[in-house]
Amino acid sequence: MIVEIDHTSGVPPYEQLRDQVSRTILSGVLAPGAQLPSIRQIAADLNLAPGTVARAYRELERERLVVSHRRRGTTVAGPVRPAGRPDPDTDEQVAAAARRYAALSAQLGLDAAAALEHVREALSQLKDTVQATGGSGAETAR
Amino acid sequence: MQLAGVFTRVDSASVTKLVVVVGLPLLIVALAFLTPPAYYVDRWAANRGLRLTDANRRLVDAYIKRTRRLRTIGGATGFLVVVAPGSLYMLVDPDSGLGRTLRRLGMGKWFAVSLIVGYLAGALVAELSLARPRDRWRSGAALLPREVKQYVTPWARYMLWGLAAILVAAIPLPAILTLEKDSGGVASVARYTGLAAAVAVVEGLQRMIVRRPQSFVDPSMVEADDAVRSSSVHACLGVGLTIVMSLAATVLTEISYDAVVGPIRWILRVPSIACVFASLFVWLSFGTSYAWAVRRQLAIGSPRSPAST
Repeated sequence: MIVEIDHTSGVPPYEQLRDQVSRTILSGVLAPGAQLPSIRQIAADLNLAPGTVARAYRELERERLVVSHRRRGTTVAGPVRPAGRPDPDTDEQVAAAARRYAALSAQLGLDAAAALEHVREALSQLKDTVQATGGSGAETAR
Repeated sequence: MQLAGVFTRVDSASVTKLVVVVGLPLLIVALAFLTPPAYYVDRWAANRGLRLTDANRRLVDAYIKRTRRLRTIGGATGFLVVVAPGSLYMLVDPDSGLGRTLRRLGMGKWFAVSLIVGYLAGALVAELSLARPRDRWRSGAALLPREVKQYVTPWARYMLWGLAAILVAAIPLPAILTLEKDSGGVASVARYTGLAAAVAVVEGLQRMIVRRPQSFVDPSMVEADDAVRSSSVHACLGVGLTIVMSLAATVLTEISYDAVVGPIRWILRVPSIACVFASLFVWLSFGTSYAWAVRRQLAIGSPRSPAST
């Protein structure tokens, strides 16, 4: 449950943070309702500007992975949809995430085959993690 | 020659007193510099539910050594600053320049406050100056909030605020029980303002220790750093409780001497003495052996077992 920022990486820190928190939530390590650290705490720990962390949290909120409350801070969102019922926004959100990933891959100079291989690998890892943790992330994963 | 003229009251009793007053704290400081045995580090970690690794053992070992030394140096310095001038005064001509200066510095009755403030300062310096390994190009953070309540025994926090509130609520009590028309005037206001300030400072220091950046990639280092912070927070809280309990003991003693109803005098001496011993116990216990397993669960499958001694 530790996020790590590589300050020498070409990937922007907010994207590194968003990606790792997202994976932690989707794999079920952070259960729905779990509280995330405050922006100030994460920023101080990771030696980042608070605005960078706030941006990562905003992205996660837009992806409906976390919910921000004025008094309770930021918590992991509950299951986005009840099991079995289709979510009309799902396609749109996944497409948006795919567009962001495609843009990032192109920016880093990856060809399409390499980029797709990373996606396959990530999906495979996610599947393994969900199985290992008893499927607690299955409802959250979209 | 001039110096010999100043030290006009040198006798064996005065010199012995000075040697004891100065020598005892210095002896305790020297003992604090002894390296603790390896099993002490293992026990310290085990009592806090901390799994030691090669990496975090170095941090814990360094913390134990540093905090023992600095807390002891702080306490001894606080004690000597107040008590040593009084002992030295016993040796010199009271009408000499040095004698007059030492008399002005004579604040012997504040030795306990000075000792405990010095101890607190030492504990803070030890916590703040402990070198935590940092990677310049990589930083890590646990995805868990850090709150004081995770790092400290709940009853002790409630007790600090509860006792302070009881003391403030009981401000009129001495006047009622001793039939005096006022309850101390300016001295009383200063006393309770000092109490409020001490409680606020202790609370603020606890938050500061817990909220300091914690940048580790290795979970075992996060756990060790949590244990270190918890130990420092308890030292702080121990000082706060000691101050509040000492004030409670002082108030009870004052009432017991001046109360108009005879039995109350005797009844109040019991809690008064109990407060003195409890304050010493809490201070020494929270500063040394008391252990608290920090309530943060870093990873699934590796919850830290709560343990307290």
